[in-house]
Amino acid sequence: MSEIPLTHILFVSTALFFIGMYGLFTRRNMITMLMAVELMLNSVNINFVAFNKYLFPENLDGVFFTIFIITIAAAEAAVAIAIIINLYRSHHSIDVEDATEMKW
Amino acid sequence: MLNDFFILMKFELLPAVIFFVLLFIKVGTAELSNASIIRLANILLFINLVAGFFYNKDGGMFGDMFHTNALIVLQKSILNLGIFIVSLQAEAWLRTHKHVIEFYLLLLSSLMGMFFMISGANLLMFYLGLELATIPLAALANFDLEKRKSSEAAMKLIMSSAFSSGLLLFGISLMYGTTGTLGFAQLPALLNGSNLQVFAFVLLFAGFAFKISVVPFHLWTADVYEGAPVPVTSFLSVVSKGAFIFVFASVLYTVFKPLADTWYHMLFLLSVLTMVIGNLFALRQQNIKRMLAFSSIAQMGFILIGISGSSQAGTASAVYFVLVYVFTNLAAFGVVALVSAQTGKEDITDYKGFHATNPVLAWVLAIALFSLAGVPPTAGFFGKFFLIMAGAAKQNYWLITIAALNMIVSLYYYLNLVKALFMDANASPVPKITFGVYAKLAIVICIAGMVLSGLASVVYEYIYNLSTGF
Amino acid sequence: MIALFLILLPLIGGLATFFAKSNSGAKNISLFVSLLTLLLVIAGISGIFGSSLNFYDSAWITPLGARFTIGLDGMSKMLCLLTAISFPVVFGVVYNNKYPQPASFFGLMLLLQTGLMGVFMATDCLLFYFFWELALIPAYFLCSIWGGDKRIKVTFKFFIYTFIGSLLMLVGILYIYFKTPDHSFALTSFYKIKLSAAEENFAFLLFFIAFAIKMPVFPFHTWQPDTYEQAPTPVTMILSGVMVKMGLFAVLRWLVPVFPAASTHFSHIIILLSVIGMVYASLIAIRQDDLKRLIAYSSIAHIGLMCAAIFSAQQIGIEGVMIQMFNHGINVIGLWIVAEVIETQLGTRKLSELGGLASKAPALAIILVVMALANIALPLTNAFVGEFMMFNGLFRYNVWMAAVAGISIILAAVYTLNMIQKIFYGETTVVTDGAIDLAMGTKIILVVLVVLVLALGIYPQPILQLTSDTVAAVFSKFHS
Repeated sequence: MSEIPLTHILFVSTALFFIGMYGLFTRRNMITMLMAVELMLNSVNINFVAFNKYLFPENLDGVFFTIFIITIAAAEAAVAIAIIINLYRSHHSIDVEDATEMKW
Repeated sequence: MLNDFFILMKFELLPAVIFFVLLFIKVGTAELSNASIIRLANILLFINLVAGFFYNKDGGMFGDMFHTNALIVLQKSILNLGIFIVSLQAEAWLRTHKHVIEFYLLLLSSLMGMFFMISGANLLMFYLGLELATIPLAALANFDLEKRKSSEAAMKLIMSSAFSSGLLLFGISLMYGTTGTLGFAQLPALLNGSNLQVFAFVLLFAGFAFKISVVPFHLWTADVYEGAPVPVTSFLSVVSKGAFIFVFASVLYTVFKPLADTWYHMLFLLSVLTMVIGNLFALRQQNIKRMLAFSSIAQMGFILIGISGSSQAGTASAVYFVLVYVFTNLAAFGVVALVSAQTGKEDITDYKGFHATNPVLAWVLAIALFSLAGVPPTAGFFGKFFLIMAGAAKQNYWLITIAALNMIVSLYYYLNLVKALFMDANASPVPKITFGVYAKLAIVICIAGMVLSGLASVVYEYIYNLSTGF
Repeated sequence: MIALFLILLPLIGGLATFFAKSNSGAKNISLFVSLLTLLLVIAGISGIFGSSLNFYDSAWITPLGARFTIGLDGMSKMLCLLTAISFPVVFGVVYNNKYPQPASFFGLMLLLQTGLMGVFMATDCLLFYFFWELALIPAYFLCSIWGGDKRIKVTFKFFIYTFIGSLLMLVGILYIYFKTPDHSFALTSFYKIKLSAAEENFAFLLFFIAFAIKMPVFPFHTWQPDTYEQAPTPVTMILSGVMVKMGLFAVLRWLVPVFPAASTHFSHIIILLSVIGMVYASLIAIRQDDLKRLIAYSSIAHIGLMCAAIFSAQQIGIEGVMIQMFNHGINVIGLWIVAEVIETQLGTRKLSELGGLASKAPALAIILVVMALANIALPLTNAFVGEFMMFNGLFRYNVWMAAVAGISIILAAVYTLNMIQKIFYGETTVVTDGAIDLAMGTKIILVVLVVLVLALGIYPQPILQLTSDTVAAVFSKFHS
């Protein structure tokens, strides 16, 4: 069975990264925006694992990095969701268009 | 060996210890009053600051993931000083707050993150420290739980910091892909300036630019500064910015030295953009915190000028500027914090006739503003001067001229505020502000710092000599 | 050490004055400190403690090669003396005035003196810049807190104007710094630089604009009459008596010797501007009804002549400038004192509302006449010698320029005599009816000034001798 080449994987991860970025900029729902950010972080994970496996299999730097990213992404999401909940309490909405008290 | 561990990691361990002491008090049964918690926390932070000056050693640990040297010790001490002053100034606001201990817990974990980030000699360690430094900040920004602006600010902060760490991580992953290493020591030799590496570097750079709010990545700054409680804003603008600048300078000079041609041009362009846009937006602000936010963006532009210069003078001037900035900006925010805590007024027009009712605070704010504007004899002048000197070493006189023009623009809005403080009449000025011993101590430290760190040239000389390491 | 104390004394005195509790405490401290400074300057000039004490050098910002170097050479001695005389005179004159927050007022005045002393003594360019700015801040606060009705707008303009100039100079300083062979800010290193003509012209302009704003030379003068008018009179005395000399001093110390070729290159246009400024300011002065504005415009005319004389590059002209810098300071302070006395006593400074004061206040009238005659440089007054020498220098440079500039002498006579006539002769008005003569303290001070005016008019040698070394140095640079 022939192996999937590295470029294919990188293509997926890069696409994922930019889909995430696009989602962050276009979506107006905060939870969706948070998901978009997670998408970006996951594309990085794919990158790390792929590089580690294909290019530098002798040590495990990339895999370790991935584990840390997953952990931190969880922490980040926890804080972000706490903030969003708090925001919901005062604004009664989680649409970013409603949170525009401060401009310029 | 164990001894080494404690000495090398002293700066990280001390906040951890204080963190746990406060945590035990929180979960314990004893009900301490706010006043005694604040007193305890300030004493501990003071011990933390003082302890930083003794028994320091150069060295690395954890298979070269962590390193420390005299310059890093100095940088950490500057941050310690900053957090101590912030904590002193926070007293007026925390006195009646329900969650005093949590404030300190978040503050300390953020500080610990910054220390790990500064000491990190590996992209992984650096990234962990960075996240530990930023995530608590978002929670801190939301610390006025019932205020709409506060949660909005926190939301903007966490979203933009998540986005920026996404960029940063993608850059790191590509950097790893092209070099196969994450260690700062190994990276420079493997950088060859290939397109992919430059792309990775640009992403990394953008991640940094977000954190130190360089135009065009500055959009979150003003909103977060305005919405967050004032002590948090001052922490964000001084301590957190300072930490990122330290790391930024050292990463550029040590790790990305081979790409110097690339980043010199980027720095040049971004510093001009940052100064111009920061100043132009500062001109039209009505809220004093927003004005200080945009002015701090403009100051970042000046720091970039310094960093774009040669490594020794660049590092030294950036570190020196941060030191001066700690005193200066905290003096300004200290006054704003007092006024905001007691009257809730934050508009520039509210400050009209401030001198008539609060002469001491008016003078403090005026000196701080002159220092921010870079007018002698304040330390701010020397800070800007050294930055410009470092940048001028490349004989780029356009950059200096643009910087000088920007100083004039910035002087205009600082002077406008000074004018409001001293000269404009106001039917209902800010009433007489009473301030306790904490705020007084903070003001004395800031004023002494603003005057002495400029005139006493030994300070700069000391930093300059430490900066030879690169 | 004397040099160092000349800076430290007003600085410490000024800081101490800030904490003075009472009105009279602040006044007494500042008067005492300023008199002590005067004694110290006299000691420095006479050299009774040895002339090596007139220089002080210590390390400052070593990584950049900036040193804390100050010293008294001829021109510095003369200008420090002028500064040191002016401050006690000013403090004496306003001794009975009431100012809100006297501690801050007198403290800032002494800080202003610190800055001025520093500017006149610094021989390190960064230090010079530092003091140059240091003098600006107290002046800004003094004008904008204690000034007249329109003070805020006017001082804002003044501050921004001079700050723009200063920053251009800072760019110039850095430019020259990187061209110096040993990367140093020292005056001697600045004198050694080698620049191409284009580079020199560029750097010259950066410096010149800063100095031209300070002097002020036409067309950079627009801040000046407003500021003089709106500033509290004691501050105006210092601004016009001493602070404008900063600009002239800086030209002679930091501009002409550093950029001799560019100075020659630009001399035509600068002299032309100066002469235009002289005539223009004199014409406006004739039309002024406000006493302070009149003196302000006449001051522009005088400064214009000094600037023109410097760039005429004649030894006699530069000697004349030296004499005139000192004398103009004395004369203009005398005039401002008279203006101050009239304003505090009668509450107006409009010429049209005054009249007949000579019968009410004969002593004031006599003194004003002497000062006014000195202002138009009548023989036997101190200004005559200086103006004569400056015109002589200008005449040697270009006859037509001198001729046009000469018109301003006639115009000066017109507006000065007109002023005397309007204030002192004619019928007394409602305002001047209750006028009384000078108080004893002010009288003594003014008499001292009048004695100085006459003494230096008859025997100007001391100043010439004092500044001969500087003149020789500047002159030799011009023709090297």
